[in-house]
Amino acid sequence: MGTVDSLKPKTLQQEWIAVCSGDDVQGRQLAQSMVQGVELVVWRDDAGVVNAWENRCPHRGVRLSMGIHRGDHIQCQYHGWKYRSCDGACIYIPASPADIPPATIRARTLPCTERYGLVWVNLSDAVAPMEWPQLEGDFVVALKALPVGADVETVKRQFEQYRFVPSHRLDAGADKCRMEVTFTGAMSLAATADDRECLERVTFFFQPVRTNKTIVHAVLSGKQPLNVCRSLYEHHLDAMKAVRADVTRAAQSDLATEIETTDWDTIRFFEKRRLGAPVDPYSNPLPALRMKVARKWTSARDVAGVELAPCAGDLPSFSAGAHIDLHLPHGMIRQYSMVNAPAERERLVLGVKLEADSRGGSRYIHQTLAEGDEITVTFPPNKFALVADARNALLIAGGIGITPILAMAQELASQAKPFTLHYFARGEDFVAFPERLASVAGNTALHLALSPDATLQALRELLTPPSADTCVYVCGPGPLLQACRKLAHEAGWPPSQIRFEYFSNDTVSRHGQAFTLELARQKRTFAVPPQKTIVQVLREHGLDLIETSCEQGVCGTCVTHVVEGEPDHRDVYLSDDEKCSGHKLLACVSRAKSTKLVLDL
Amino acid sequence: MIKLYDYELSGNCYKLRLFMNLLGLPYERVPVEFYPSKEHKSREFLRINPLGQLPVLVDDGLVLRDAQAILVYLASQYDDTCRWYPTNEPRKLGVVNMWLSFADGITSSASAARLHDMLFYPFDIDACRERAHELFAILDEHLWLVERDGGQWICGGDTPTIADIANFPYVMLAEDGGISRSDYRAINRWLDRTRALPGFIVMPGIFPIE
Amino acid sequence: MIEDKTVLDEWYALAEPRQISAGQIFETRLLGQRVELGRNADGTYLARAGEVALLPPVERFGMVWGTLGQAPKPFFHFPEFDEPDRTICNPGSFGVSVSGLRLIENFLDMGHFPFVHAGYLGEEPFTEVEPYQVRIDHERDEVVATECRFYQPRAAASAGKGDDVQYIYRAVKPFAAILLKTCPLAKDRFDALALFVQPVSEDECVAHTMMAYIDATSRPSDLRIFQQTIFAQDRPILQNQVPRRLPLDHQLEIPARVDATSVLYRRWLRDKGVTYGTYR
Repeated sequence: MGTVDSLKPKTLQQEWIAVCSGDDVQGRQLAQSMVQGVELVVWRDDAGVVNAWENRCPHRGVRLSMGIHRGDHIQCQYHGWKYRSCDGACIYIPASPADIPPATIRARTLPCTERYGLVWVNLSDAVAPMEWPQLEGDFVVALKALPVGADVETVKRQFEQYRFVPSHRLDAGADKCRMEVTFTGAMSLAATADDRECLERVTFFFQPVRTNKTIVHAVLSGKQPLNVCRSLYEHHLDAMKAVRADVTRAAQSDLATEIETTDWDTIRFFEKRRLGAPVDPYSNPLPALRMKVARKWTSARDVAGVELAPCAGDLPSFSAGAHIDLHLPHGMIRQYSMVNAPAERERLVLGVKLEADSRGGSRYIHQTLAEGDEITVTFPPNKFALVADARNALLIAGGIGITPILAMAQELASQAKPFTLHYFARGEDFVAFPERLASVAGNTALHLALSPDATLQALRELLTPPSADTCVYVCGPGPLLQACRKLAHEAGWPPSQIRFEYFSNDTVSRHGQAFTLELARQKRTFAVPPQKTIVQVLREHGLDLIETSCEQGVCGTCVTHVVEGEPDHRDVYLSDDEKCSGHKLLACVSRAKSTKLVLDL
Repeated sequence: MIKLYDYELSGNCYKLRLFMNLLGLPYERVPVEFYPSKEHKSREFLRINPLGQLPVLVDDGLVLRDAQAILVYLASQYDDTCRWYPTNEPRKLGVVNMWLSFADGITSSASAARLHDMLFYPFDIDACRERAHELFAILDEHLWLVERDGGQWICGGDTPTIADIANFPYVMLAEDGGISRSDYRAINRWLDRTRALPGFIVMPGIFPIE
Repeated sequence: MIEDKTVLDEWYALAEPRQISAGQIFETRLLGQRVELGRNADGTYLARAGEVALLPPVERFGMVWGTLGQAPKPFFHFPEFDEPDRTICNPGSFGVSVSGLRLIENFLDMGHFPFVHAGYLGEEPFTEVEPYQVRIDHERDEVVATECRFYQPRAAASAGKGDDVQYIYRAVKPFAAILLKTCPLAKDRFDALALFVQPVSEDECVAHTMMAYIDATSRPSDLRIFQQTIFAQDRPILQNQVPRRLPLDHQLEIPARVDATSVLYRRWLRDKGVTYGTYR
């Protein structure tokens, strides 16, 4: 019998803790686990990647293990917020379907891996690869884990007494073999034959749940294939329960029977961990591009066609459905989708509708912008892209929504992929880009001058019944999208097969005019351009002076005192009085109406 | 038309609502207000069930109380496949009945804990929870071994029986009574499989798995 | 004793009048203390916590209210309760293992309707919460949210079909709130639903509810079971919030723009100095 080492100082191996078996995370299970009072949700995505997260939704703290595993993300049961695999970033907030969730909202993740039939998490900061040399290359099977109502050291000591019969000798009713105990952070017992050849090994991994509870994971391994059968499992189950009974007798404690309150442990643990830089799932690494208006023409009755060419260099690549931010004078920034066909990569082609209640953007483009004018363009990521492996596409466009849809149609046509395009317009002279439409005429149906009821009927016919191999793309004004959403739901389309692009004029624009920001105490000055916030500019200069949380102007965490200047309030947190007084603003969204803003920083 | 005397928040009544939905059996619900008016103890209802308990099923003159007995009747009468309650296979039938009785133990422990926590019933809550954990550990181990044999349901095999229906609600609602299911992973897998059955319906406190 | 004077000096719903009869003791817990309620022969109430006599409980809005404080603040207004054409209904009291403040915040929230109350108060894909107004009513010291609306497949026991419903929310006390929602049977009026939370301890409470509905067609038991259903759908969510106590800052829990009511509710609590039931 080997001697048991006293507990070695922590080795990196010991930082990897087994929390469940591979079976526990099969079939879209969300497994709950706990390590030293820290609550985790453990799951495996459909691609096979295991995740271990703090079991708490960043929104209102509901346990994520109560949610729904949707393949590549978890959906919280409370408000349906979705968090994707690997980095835990929030990718969708159903209450605001048109908005990108802020990068600060993400589930807190821990390193997690799957080996030897078990899933492991690492609670430390220094993460070394996990490997148990004794198990490498062997045939391995995970036995049933057993919770024991005692602290981990007591449990380990008791499990030294474990004895078992190797699997292929079970039927013969053989005596249990000699045991070799080795302690390498876990506990390994090898059943050896008389000639000291290792027949089979049971390795125990101890998961410290709380000070009065430990879960014992066990893995059976051997150089030969194991005789896996019900009696094998029952043998070890009985043997482990016998050891547990000894522990319980010795420790005189019971398993915790009530739901353990873990508020303090879980939250304090994750608060101490460095969160790391917020992960922006839609991060935009492309720099702004200076462009020139190469051509401008009337494409339809209220639509101007605009072609932009880069002043220098090439255009970055973009996919069908993508849009750009056009930076207009007076700090206005407007989004427009590209109509480009796949081969058109020298210039951007846009369609701009003159909005009746335009705040100035479309009016400027229609009336003032001229060929030869220069303009700055930035490239946000494309959220409205074609799904790669959909077999059929149904494209629905209303009004100026034709722009990204037409780009998609041209793309699909060039790849000879089947699609149909349905374009709803107010009349013949409202049809934009007729020459481009001609190139996809064979797949296009025009619906002109339809009444709302007739439009609804036409949409109903298009969307009923749903088709398993078709992806639907809809772009247009709000009522069209609402109608399609409702009809698609009624017809039973799975939400993943319908993509919407909002063309809304009244989403809150984060942009405004440029201004000078002065920090009164730091005695530094910065230029804040229209498309950046105060917080962003400060961070870019390495000044993390303002704490933020929601970064949407909701929660008030970033409230900052104003020494001089007139704030341009963009938040929904400050009261009317507070806003009027002008003494504070929320730096994550608000800006300045004056040319200079001095903050008490 | 089958009539079910029923209370929305009762797990025992839900067993029958669930089962009849899985069978596609139409029925009429007669609400009996368990709380706050204790309608199940009223003189009118005691005439229907002198034990003053829900659920009660009435079908073509037959009046039955006790959720497990009603499940037996409905399966025998209406399940042509004879798989929910295999009357033609004595060994399987014995196993199903064994686990129907087990469901009574779940009711007297996990359901009692739920009544204590939600509606202040004066039960010994520690004893209820301890007993529930004992039963859950047994069920979890049993289901784990069933899975090693390739089975998916309490009585083994790849089709559910009424034993699964009888045990499902109060196991699923365990947390309503302060009983955590986090250690019982085989039970949690079985709960997910049950929620994925075609025709599955929820009750308040149970969410769909979609 | 309790340090949070704001919370101490309030009336709390403890029981229904019918639960307290002369000559019997009704036991409950409030703010961590065991409280015994009784009734005199003349119908008035008495209460004590251990040996200490408490202020005599009062009946209001269909419930018996008690306090551990010496100078409880005045009651809020609940005019719908006294309107003669309304059905007054008490769907019962339920225990919940979470801070009562979380119950109030949940009561004020619409975003969870399509997920927690699917098929009743909301349904996918109608998940969008449109902008609404929320402010503090300084005269009454309440948080008030108006111009709230949501599509509901089954808004009430009396609703025959899905419809858009308007809501007005009032957080009238840290542990009490009232909502008004479009009455399906009389579109120009509002059904009123009140939630009176009894804080048993910092992370346990009892939810008492009172309905003042315009509904001459449904049986009161239908109204009650509808409300019990909604509540039983919320309860597992509430009991699975971590921490059980309500955080008042926004480091731990991050709101979205549509959470303006909850943000203002937490801010209001902070400004009032409420600590009982908060995570700190």
